[in-house]
Amino acid sequence: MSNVLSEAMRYLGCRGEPDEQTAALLERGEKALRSEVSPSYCWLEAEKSALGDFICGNDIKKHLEGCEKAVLFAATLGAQSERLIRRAEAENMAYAVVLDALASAFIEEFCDKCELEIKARVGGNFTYRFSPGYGDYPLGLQAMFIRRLSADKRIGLTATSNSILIPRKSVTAIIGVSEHEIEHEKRSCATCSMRERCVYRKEGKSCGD
Amino acid sequence: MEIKTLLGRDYVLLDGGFGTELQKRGMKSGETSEIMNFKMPDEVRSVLRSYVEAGSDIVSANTFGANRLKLEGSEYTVEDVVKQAMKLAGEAVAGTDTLVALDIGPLGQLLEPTGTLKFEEAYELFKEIIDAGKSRADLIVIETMTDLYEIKAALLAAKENSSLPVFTYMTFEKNGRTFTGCSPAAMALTLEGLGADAVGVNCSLAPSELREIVKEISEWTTLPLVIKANAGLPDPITNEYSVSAEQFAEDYRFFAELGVKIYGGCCGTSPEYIVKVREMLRENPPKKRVVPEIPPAVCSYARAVDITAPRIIGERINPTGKKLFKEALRNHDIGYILNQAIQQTDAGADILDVNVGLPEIDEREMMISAVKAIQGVTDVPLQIDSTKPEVIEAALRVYNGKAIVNSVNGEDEVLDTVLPIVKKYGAAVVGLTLDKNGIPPTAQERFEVAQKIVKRAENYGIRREDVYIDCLTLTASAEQKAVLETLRALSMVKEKLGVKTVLGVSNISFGLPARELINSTFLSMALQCGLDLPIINPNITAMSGAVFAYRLLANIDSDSREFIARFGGETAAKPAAPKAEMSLGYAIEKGLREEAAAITEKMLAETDPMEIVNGCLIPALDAAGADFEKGKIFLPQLILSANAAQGCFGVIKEKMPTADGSVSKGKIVLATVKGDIHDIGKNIVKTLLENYGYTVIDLGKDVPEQTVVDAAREHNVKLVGLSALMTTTLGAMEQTIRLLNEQLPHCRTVVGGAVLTADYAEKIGADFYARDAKETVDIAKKIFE
Repeated sequence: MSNVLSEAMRYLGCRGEPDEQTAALLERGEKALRSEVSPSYCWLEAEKSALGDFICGNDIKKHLEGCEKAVLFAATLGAQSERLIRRAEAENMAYAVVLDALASAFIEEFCDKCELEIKARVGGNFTYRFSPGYGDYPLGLQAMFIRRLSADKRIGLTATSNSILIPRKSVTAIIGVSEHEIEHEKRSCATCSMRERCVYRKEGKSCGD
Repeated sequence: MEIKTLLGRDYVLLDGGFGTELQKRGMKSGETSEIMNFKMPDEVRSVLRSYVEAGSDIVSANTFGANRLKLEGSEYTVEDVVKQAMKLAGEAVAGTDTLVALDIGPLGQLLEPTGTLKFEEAYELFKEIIDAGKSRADLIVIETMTDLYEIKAALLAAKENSSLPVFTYMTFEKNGRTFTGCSPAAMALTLEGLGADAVGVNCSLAPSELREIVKEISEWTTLPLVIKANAGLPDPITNEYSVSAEQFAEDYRFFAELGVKIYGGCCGTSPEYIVKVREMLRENPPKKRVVPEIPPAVCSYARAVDITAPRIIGERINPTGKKLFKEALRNHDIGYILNQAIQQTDAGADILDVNVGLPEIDEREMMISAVKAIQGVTDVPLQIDSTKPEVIEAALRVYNGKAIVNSVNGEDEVLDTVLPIVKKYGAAVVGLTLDKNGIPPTAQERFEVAQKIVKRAENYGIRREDVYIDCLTLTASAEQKAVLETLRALSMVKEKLGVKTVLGVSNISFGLPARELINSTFLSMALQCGLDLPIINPNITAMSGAVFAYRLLANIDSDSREFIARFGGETAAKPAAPKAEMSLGYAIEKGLREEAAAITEKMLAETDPMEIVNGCLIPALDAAGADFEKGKIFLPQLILSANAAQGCFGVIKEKMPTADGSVSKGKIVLATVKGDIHDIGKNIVKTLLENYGYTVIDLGKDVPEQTVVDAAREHNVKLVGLSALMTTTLGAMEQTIRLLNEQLPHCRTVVGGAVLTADYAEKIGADFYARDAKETVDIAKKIFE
């Protein structure tokens, strides 16, 4: 099973192998997303000292410890992913749920791919992507990310006054860049907003397991 | 100078990039350019003046982002900023012939249905800018738009609130579409229809990447064309643009060859670029553009459908004679209508007729909701079907594209009321060949009515290509002789008036057996007589198939490609006749919707409907719910079971002797709270509740607090379900609950959503917290017991 499929299964709360019908929905959804959605991204590199208001709270400081530079990053699956999901909701809710989960997995996969491209250009060692809403890093920064990256003009990304990204299947993030090895490379439950409700954590596991 | 005079020249020069020029003069990155009108007025004037000196015939005032949303939090109002910007621009061009444009960019928030901003709100925001700037502007420029809906709101606001010429540019990506999926053809058709004075592209791409896009626009409009490219893309590390001024001007030669009239630059260009472009154009004056013959066509935001071959209009969105449809309208069940839209699109409909008229509902309000929702899930153009001018106008206003109006007839009063609306919104129109005296019996008389309609339309400035004549089908069982007369009229209209024809087909067989046979035969006869737009039920393969077959046989579908694509594969599985051994419970457990419906149909012959519901359906759903709780099955399967139950319910409701849902176990209002747009969880809950027999009044997402209360009161519900996914919108949930408790103390609330916990739900005053959709059903059961 592809990584996107197994991630989508996880979002759906499915354990083990999917049953026949769910498998068919997953296959159809993955095909639709891969053929009809064209994700896009934009980024810029900045000296850490030039990040200004992007340094906000303790967690981002910790995250960028030892980094000299940072990459500001935004990516989106675009309006077409919204349309596909809306259409699916009107047609068959089961398919819509599967498609929604797939789209979430798909944007993560796309971000990973973008990161490789950026790394090839920038060089050095990268931290993981740190996004508004992680730990004490305010969701309210979404608008600032969009402004600084001109992400509205460049990739059609916007944020509502409640800091909801639209299109919904989108990511903004800071990646720390260092010439040296970076220790804390993996995201942990500590900065996760779902930590109090997470079903995995209740079982003593984490979603990364 | 007048714009008209300017457009009479070989070419017109606009200005180039503004923000980057202001940064060169000291504006910091991240600062709001429009505020600079106050902070650094000299520099703003100096940028504009540098373009005047470079030879720009038109410069844009620094008002691109001067809208209320973007200025929020600043100390200035829209009026302050726009007035100041127009004043500075006026000073910059003083003593020259250069004209000043009021410049309008995107609002920065996405419009419905992807975003939360309503079309009507967008219109008001644009109107505010126009009111503030029109007195000092020579023209209005609307640019960098990626959403056809947003540019429509802006253009309507400009046309309705000023008499200034309006230039309109959209921003396309390498795939030839805008971010929201708008195609060049759809843009050109829609904006010309709405009365724009020039159309074109700006921003995002380098000149060499815009060739195909501008070429496509040129094939779909008679208006002057505009190009305002970027100097490539900025480098993410150095922030420098990739195309030099020389290269930029050189690459513009292609557009001069194409006959583009208006030239400028966008991000990364400077006065130097404008000088180079001017030099290039002086040496290579643009070719005089051969204005193309635009084919008769309609479009959605994404898809243009040309009527150069027979196209199918789907007739199913119409409550006439349909009990479930009527019930859906009464309950404002948009989901039902959307399902009809998708089915027909999948079955091959090229255009969808939309009729939501029912005496006891507010047709205008319902039409607006239906049009907005349908265009959110499908990209086939719509045909607005109503007899009421106010409904037609409301629908055309919110339609994102070029629609068809169904219909006018030969009566003067109808023509003089509806045709001006058709013209204003740039729609096409169906003309019925009847008048005060009814349907004329002979072909000649119907031809005369058609002639009158076409002439009147042309008087109102509507192109002949946008008038589709309906020669009217009469029922063969009642008026057998009239069948051929209709076809004769159709041929006459087509040949002598040179207009496109439309015909509702299904009426022909009323009162006869084997209707499908009559219908498809009549359809084939009509197609042979020149019918362009059959209005049919595309879900019946014999009907849509006849059109596909005709297109093949008439050598329109070259190499039979379309036909083979549709019919060449496996034939779609028919709703299987239920196997003798399959039980309703099994069908629901396995999520087999069609089988569940078929079994129900059989069972109804000898079983009481309520017995089916309570004896088979609910226990089967309960079993699925229990398996879900135990982790034996997962969410998709649970919903599939619910879907199967829905199939079963559909059959029962259709067959029930009483007027409306007496199988309903109670009404529940659902909403995703104000500010939140993540509504998939709420929609899952809706599916489940409905399939347990509850009637759900679904208010959608981003629902204002009071709207929830009003709906709960209107429908007299005992339970309201609210969802929120984001921490930032929990406040709106709390407020909604507070209002409900104050105004409807007997109404209970159940809340859910990823960020909620039972504790938090209690804290904000909710009566119940539901972890998932299944739990919501359990709560509903408790309340309605």
